Amino acid sequence: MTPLELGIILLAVLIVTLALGMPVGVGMILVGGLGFVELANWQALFGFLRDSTYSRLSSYSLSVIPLFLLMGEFATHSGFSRALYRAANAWMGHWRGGLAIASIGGCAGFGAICGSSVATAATMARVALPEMRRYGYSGALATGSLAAGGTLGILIPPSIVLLIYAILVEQSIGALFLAAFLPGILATVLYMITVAIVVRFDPEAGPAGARADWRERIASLQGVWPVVVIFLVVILGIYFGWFTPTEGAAIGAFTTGALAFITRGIDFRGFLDVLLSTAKTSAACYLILIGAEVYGAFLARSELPFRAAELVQSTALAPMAVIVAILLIYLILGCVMDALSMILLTVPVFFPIVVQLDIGMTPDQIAIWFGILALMVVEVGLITPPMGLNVFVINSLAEDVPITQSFKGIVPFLMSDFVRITLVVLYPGLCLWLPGMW
Amino acid sequence: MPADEQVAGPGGPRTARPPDFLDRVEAGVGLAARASALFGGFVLTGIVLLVVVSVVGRKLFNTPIEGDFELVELFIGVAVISFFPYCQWQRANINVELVLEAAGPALRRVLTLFNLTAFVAVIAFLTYWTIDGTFHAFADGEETMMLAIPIAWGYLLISVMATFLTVIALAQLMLALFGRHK
Repeated sequence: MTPLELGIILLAVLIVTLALGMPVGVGMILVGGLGFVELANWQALFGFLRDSTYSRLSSYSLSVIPLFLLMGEFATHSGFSRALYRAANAWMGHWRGGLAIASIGGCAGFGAICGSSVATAATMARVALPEMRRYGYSGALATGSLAAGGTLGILIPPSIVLLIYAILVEQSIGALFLAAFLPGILATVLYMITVAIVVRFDPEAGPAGARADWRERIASLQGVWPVVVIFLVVILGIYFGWFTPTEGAAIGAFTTGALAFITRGIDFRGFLDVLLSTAKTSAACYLILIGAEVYGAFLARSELPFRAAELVQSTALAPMAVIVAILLIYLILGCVMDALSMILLTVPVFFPIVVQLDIGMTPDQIAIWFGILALMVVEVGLITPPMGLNVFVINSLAEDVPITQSFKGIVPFLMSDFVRITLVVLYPGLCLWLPGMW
Repeated sequence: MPADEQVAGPGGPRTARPPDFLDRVEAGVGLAARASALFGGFVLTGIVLLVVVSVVGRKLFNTPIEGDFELVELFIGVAVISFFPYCQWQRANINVELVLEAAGPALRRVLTLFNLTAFVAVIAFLTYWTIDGTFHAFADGEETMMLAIPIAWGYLLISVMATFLTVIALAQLMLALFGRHK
């Protein structure tokens, strides 16, 4: 059996084990370990495992992950979501569909201090959902806009998935965060336009809310500025190298936590809840990271990524066709898998293929651009059936809305996602301009 | 995300009956997992404070905490491994739910037991080799550059917590075999 054949067989085994519901990280360790032994021997595997768990857990560069997760948890437990929604509502609530538009604005703001989509969606929903239902918004629009808005959490920096991509492909975290910023704004604007179009066809779905006067509008901004300051300090600080990403995340966690305490958003009990939630999500991330280490060691030995890249090159496919094909694979995988597992499983194979494509960009430019594209496509999986996690979370908070309504409500936002993905494919400058790479 | 409501208590609503031995085990293991996660959380909070003090010291007073980098590496490993038992106890590890959700109760139970077994086996294996790595690290006697912290200490702390994780995961599997901790 050639290494390539072995790689393909074990890939199939991995897919089956994961489909049976085995934790993704455990499946990766099992399959990666077996493949490693087949290509080398047990002694080599033992030697590798002696240090691999330790080195993953005690890695400075990965320590940024639990710190950003902690920051997001503080944000979730603080009153920021309320303040953000109030502000967005004061400025946009009186438009037709304004409460849904404000929800998306609130999600975008919240995404600036939270790196996770589900947390963003759930947190904003607690504030915005009751309001929308009170004003008679349709279940489809109310839940759809929040589920879609939640995906801004992962797109607008900081973003856990983007962090891990950056570490995987050895690109600057700061540059990737900055690169995601304009696509994030674009997503926000397109989602808002989507709401406007939906209520144009179906005015009943989202009636206008109350109009706030200018004094209220200015006053509403008071609760927002801490979010803006934290976001700018953390993101720009990392980008300009004032501090390392880990230090930026620690500063973000500290300031967000301090503000949550000062504004009495949390007490000591709440703090313990923050720690427990952080523990749960961090451990889930690290199990997959440890899995990816073992699986990656096997992949590297199997030369599968290298061969796959050669194969793609030899077929003389149009480079753009390759990109589109990869994005389609992500879309399909995204229907059943979460973003983080997908990135860790596929990037080691896809990245070598993509980076050598002749599309008139340097490898660094491709790395950044492809990262943003992959991020946007995997996040689509959060709102597509059958496993659209965001939709389920929002739907569980809206007791009177059937799940079919929620998935119906998501369709216009999915179309908006495809418009945005197409724009970023056609105009790489959208992500490369801000980090000064275009 | 909402805070976890039922942590230490027996999983799910149950008919009123005096708690038996397995109930007490279940409550005890849940409590231990939670305590471990909180311990890790406090270590993580300590890292946050350490880093903030160091950055402020460096930027404003030109006096960073020497070797903060090495302390972060040492403590982050301890914090994260302490998170694992709680995550596994809460069944919060990421998996693909598609087949599990479609399966009937019998198949679902078989798959659940199979997956819990795989978790225990893999974690026990990793733990064993990390302990082995600890002995190697002590034998090598390597130290960090700035603070001369023996690298082996990090290995040792992680080995201890990984052993604890293995015990918790094993207890979880046993409880599941007896039809508890659904």
